[in-house]
Amino acid sequence: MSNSRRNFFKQVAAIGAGVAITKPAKATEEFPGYPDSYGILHDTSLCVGCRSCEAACNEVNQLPPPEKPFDDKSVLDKKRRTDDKAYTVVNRYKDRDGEKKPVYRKIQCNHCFEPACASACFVGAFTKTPLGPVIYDPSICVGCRYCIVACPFNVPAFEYDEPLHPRVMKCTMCYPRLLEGKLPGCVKACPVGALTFGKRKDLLSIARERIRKHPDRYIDHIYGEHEMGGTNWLYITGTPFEEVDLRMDLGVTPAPEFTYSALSAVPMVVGLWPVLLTGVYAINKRNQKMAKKEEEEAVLAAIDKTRKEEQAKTETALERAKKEQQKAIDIAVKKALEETSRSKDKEENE
Amino acid sequence: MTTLTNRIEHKSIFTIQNIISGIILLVGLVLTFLRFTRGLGTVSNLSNNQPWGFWIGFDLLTGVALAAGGYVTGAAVYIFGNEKYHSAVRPAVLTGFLGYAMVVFALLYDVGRPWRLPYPFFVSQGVTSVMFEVGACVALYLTVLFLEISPVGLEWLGLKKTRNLAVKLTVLLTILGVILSTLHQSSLGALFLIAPSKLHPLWYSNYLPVFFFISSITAGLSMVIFEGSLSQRAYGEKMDAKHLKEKDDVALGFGKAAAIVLFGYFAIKVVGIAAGNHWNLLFTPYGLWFQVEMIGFVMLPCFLYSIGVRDKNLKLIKFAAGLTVFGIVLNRLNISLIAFNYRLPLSERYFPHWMEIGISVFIVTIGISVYRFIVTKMPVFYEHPEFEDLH
Amino acid sequence: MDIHTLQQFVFHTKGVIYILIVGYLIGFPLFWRFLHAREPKDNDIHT
Repeated sequence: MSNSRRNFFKQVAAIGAGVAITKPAKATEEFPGYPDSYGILHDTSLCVGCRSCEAACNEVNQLPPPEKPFDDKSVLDKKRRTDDKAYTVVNRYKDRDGEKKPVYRKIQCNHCFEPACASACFVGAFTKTPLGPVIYDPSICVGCRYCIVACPFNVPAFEYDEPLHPRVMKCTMCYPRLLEGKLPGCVKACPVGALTFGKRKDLLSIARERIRKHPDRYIDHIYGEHEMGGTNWLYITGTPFEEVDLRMDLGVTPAPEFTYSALSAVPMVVGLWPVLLTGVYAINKRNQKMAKKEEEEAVLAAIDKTRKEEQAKTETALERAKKEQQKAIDIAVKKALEETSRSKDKEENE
Repeated sequence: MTTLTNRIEHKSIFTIQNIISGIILLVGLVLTFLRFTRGLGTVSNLSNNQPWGFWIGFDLLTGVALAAGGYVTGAAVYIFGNEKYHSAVRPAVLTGFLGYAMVVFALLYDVGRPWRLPYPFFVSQGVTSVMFEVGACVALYLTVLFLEISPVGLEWLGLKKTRNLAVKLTVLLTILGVILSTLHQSSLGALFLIAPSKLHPLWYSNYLPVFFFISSITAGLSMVIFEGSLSQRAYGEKMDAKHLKEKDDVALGFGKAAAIVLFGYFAIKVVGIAAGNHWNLLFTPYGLWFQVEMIGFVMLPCFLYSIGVRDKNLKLIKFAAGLTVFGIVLNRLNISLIAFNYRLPLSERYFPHWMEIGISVFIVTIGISVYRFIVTKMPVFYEHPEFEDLH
Repeated sequence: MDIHTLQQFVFHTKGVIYILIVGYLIGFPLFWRFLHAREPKDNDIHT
């Protein structure tokens, strides 16, 4: 699976036109997941906080030895979370009345149907396997820790003390053991049957049966049946879930769906921005050209106007000059005529 | 400021500035050594509850937002046709390029196995991740910015032909830059969409990508103004007449644009509260802090910008620019650190280790040194005499 | 490859879409040039 995922682009390229011959299982966008996958049911009403599961997990996964031995109960005084040295931890919670015995709850990866970590990983280092476990491939992990940000259950941990080859560490539901047909380490080690391994759908009916038989012992809810789209790890308890740090406000929407609507805007931006921006660009180019043309025309018109004005001026000047000349001629002619008539008179008088 | 310019002119190596830079670089090298020999645990307060700290909140989220001046100025001049801001393009694109380079540089410290950063593109494509999109866009945009700023270096080297080729690509690169910036500026906000159970509802919204994109525009505009006023003091003598003449126009024009964008940004942030119906949270402690961000660093700079533009008061505009820039820093830190994991008890909350801040200061110092080198040697604040009228 | 989960479905569709995006980004400038190829030189809108 992780192999086929890694070579996605090669695969598509091999198929050719980019239309891979794959079909969703349904025409609608609802996906069945793996109905026959395995899961584990944790019944907190049975858990005695012996930490055998922690010890087994540590051994099976070859994790470093703990600071305090696994039979040291003082560890339970403090609330803990999973880290790079412990895939699973058990926490003790006081009963609400403080009279009955305390409640214990085991934390580990819940193996979501639609894992937030898997959708968040930009190298696809996480895989939801058909058997149920969500597994991690350290050979491609970049160490960006977005998976840890994304996980709604605060499960994955990082090897902060590893300078060059840090890994993300989390429960694998003992995937390698499942492949060998063995039980997960924690389930095998549990001495009181607080953990039940089986097909998830069978676990759901077991859980329902227990709740039906002992309505006084359990709250009528199976945690993990729908939380964050459903998980392969299920919990039933007699204590309100919030009090054993199982958040009830997470909702039933699988985490990846929160981002997919935003991601779906990406191709629209890429598709439409060039259209709009080249449009704006072309309009501005045109406006600039028009402005330039107008300017040029204005300059030409101005030149033309001055030329015409000057011509007109010259013409009027010429006319005036002509007129004046005519006037002068007229005057001169008149004068001459007068003079001749006067001299004529003179002659006649003489 | 005259003393500063004098110092630059005297070219003595042992100026106060250089000594401080030297010490920072030395400490930075030691911290780098520690990071790659002892691991992230030694140099940071990062934890399994807070896997992203100061480097992501400040260096990545804030760094990318503040480097938005490149695409904003490019778009204003080459696409929207505001030729009168032409002299602002080169400084803005240079800052953008160095900003993104610093972001990538900081990531080398932050991610576990930095040499694998090309893996998402060449080895295994996790296309369902918002991070994949951010990574692809940042990598491509860094290349685009490099090409956009390359004429500066090519003119300096006198490579006329290559330079003219690069200049021919200007419009293409600008449009590509706007597309890539829209995508990754918004996707940085979309990164947090996957964790509604961890981010405080006042900051979490389906509109986070839009908020990040719009606020990046205000950040870009304000950074151009803010940086312009700083560079005028330090490198005023480098600037040519055109640059000095356009300087005030740029501040006025960009100030007006910033005022309008901030006005719209405030409105859509309010819509964000309305869409989630989170009015009742406004008077909780986190709500008051949210109001400080919204009123003090969005509404107030919007108001100051508009007064500054009306009165043609450049001082006020520059102050508003500084306020906006600080507001962006605050917003990004709120989303990634302060309002993130708001449910955890105080004892489990994150506060940056001094070495984290030390490495960030180290990276910014390198960036500023490279900036100083480039603007003193290359035609950024002036047009190269041989290449005038060519662009 | 059968599709069982939303994760696989989105992985597949997004993969195809990213390939389309790259094609479009290369194709757009070429189309722009094709569109403006016959215009006189002074109309030069360089892409």
